[in-house]
Amino acid sequence: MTSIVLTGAHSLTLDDGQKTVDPLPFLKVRKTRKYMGTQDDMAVVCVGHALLLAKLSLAAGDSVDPDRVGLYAAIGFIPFERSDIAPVLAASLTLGAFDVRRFSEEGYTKAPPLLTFRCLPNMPAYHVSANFGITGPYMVTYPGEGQAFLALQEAQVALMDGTIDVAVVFATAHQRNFLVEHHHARLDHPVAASDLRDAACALILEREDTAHKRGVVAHARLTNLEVTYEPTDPLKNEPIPTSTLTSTSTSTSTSTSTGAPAPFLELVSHLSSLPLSQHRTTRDGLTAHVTWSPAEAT
Amino acid sequence: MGVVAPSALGVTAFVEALLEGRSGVSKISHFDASHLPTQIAGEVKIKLPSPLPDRKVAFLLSAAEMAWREACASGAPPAGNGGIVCGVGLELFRMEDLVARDAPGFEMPKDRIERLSFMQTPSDLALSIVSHRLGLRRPPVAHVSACAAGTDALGHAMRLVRSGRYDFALAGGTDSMVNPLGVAGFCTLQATSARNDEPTKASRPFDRTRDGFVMGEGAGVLVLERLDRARARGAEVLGEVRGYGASLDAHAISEPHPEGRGAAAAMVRALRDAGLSPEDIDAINAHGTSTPKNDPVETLAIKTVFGERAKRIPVSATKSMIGHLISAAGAVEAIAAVGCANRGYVHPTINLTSPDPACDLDYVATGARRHAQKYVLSASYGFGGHNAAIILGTKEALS
Repeated sequence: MTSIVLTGAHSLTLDDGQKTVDPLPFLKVRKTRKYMGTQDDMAVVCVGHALLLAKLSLAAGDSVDPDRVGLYAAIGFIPFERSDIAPVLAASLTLGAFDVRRFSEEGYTKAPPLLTFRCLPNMPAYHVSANFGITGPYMVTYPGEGQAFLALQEAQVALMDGTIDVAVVFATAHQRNFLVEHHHARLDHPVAASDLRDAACALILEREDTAHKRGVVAHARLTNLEVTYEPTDPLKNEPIPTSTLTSTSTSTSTSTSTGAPAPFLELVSHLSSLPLSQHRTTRDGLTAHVTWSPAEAT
Repeated sequence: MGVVAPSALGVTAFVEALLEGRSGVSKISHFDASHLPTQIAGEVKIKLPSPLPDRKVAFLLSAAEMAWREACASGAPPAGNGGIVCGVGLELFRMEDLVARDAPGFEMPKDRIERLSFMQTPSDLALSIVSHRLGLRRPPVAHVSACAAGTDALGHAMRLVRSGRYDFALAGGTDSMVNPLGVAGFCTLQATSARNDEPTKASRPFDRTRDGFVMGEGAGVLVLERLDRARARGAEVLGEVRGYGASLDAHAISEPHPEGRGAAAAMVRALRDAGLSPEDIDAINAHGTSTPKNDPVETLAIKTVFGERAKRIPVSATKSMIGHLISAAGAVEAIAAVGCANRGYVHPTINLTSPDPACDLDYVATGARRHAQKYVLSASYGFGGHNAAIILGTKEALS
């Protein structure tokens, strides 16, 4: 039986003070840059590099039909920059209180006109599909690490049942903004704003026989993926998130939180030290166990 | 099935409202919208019980409870391990809370529920509540593909059940953007109707005088399980989700592909997945947003898939009566399609009085019509080029 292999991958984590990455080299139409927020920029850059590594152009003449390329995305909590909402709020106050009439007459007009596009969770999928010509099926889910595993699982199923030939799996999370920082501060096990990172990662997966026919190098093999769930009352408590990694290299633990892309970032950073076993329980009750092996292993 | 819609609460009342052609659109009452360009919406007027103030949480809990109760009414509960798969709307924060957060001495509320409500409620929280209440042990899945999310959730849930990964699923969508930031956001994009003086006539899919969509709110949930299992436990089977197809336009950010290529691809994939041909489809529940760009392109896509026969298939737009429920739209419209079909009708597209020459199909403009149906296609097309279609089998198809 054929298996699922990784033929392209790229990850990025923004440095302190780095606002975004430049997606222009991957944009078909430069002016679409104005619609893009940080989560979009990161997604396009990661997918662009991952496709290059996988030797996929998806242009006319490519051996892979764009209709048979699926897109599976996990997007982080909705981002909102304080600088975008500050003028709206300032023009919506009366004696220091929110005044819906002032908001309706003036406040809302102060919002950047393209703000909506830059924070919607389906927009990274749009920018990736439009710039790389992906027209197959899709799944866009949200908002954390558990959902990244679910996206990966859907890609695995679609590849194995022959619905698609190539899966573009990515996760992106723009976390260093006031709304996501607020969300993480209110959790039972809060994450400090200083520990949040903006990050993204893209994986290109295909059946081994497809990769072999295309003559591309496989970098890893997905040998096990299980996601289970234990319901808890979210109004009373939340599970303590845990994550353990086992690989041939010494795991480097970090206190930073990269959100939805975290499991994929771990994979990319361990590609030279496979096999990698990931075991993660998330605060929404999902538990995932994933094993990646060296591609030459059977 | 369970539904919370602007026109009615519960499937029976909802279907009756649709067959009567009754609009659920009115002046916005949830907040003072009288100075915004758009002042109308399809609001749910009834206050529903909920542990959290976020309206979309209340909608989902009510719709899920209704659906589960009906699924269990005529037999033992669905057996095995199930999960909820749901389209969810995005989190918009309360401006009042933003002011409070900026005030000197602000402290995060100590109470967990208040903390989860302050500013905004995480959109996926409602799925966790339903999972806990019903003891669902398969992962909840939130779909965020904008206006296609509800249909994507139904399709995905069907595949999870069909493949045996879930024994059963609660599938649907929930959304409410009828709040200052939500309504104003769409005003900024000039996407919504400004026919404020005639709220019930504002949503006019396929009409020449349409001027944008009308926002709605609500939720729809369907309980899906394998047919043999449902019959074995003595459940009344209301219909089937027979096939699902999805595609990406890869074209433009806020408008569909001019030839409706992505929409047509989603419909063709759904038919293929269902093992049916275009000749098998008896009716279409259209996306039908009442926007200048969607309606003619959707018409073109239907013609592409169904050819000459397109003009003989009744095409209904539920949004003409309840507005656009965004992430909940596909689920609520699937319930509309199945509910009306099981009574032997297609519901009307109201307010279609001046047909757009580019929209030249049979949109059931003159009132509900008696029409026997085995298979209905229901489609949703999202902002950003997400296209989803499902094929629904009616009771007649299963008999």
